[in-house]
Amino acid sequence: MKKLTLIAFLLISGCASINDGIEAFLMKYDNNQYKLITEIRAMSTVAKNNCSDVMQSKNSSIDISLKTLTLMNYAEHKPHNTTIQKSSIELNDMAQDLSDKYKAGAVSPVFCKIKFQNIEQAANTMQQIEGSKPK
Amino acid sequence: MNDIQQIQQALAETGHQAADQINQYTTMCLNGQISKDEYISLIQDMQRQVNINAQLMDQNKLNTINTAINALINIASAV
Repeated sequence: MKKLTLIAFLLISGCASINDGIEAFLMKYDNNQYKLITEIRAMSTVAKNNCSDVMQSKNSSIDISLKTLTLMNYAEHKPHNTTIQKSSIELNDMAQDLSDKYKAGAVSPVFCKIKFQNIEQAANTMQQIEGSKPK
Repeated sequence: MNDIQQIQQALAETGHQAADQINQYTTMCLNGQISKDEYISLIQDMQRQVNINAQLMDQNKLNTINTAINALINIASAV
């Protein structure tokens, strides 16, 4: 019966690799990960409307970049977590970039708003990734 | 409309959105609303968004495989 199950699985999964099969079977929803992503999204949602206040925006960018770094580090060694591992690197790059620009000097309000919007949108997509995992 | 046509349409729409966004950023840069460095950063963000969206697609694929595995386990257990 185990052989039948394995053969049927391979037929259904088509071109999926064994690694994909293992990842798919063992992956699990992680509440801590989802919470961190949600916090990043919420902070960006608030921050995008405060870009006229440079100090507040700078502080928000630093706070968010710390959160994205925490998420990336949290996801890094968690097994069967490939999609969040890869996407958290991209999200962290986005956030660090904004934080670095604030540390280097002035940032235009238009850029500030778009960057926080981009982080918000990316976090939204990542919520969909994490939220769809089996509980 | 078949699957391929739907994918082609989705790709075309995505392509248009990306082109519109680049045009928008280019105009902002030329008008002096954002600096050249900021412009480059926004273009890089577009690529990062594409990479994150690709992970969402991968996750959807894994979810489908997971459903199939669990269905097969249930069938095998019932026999």
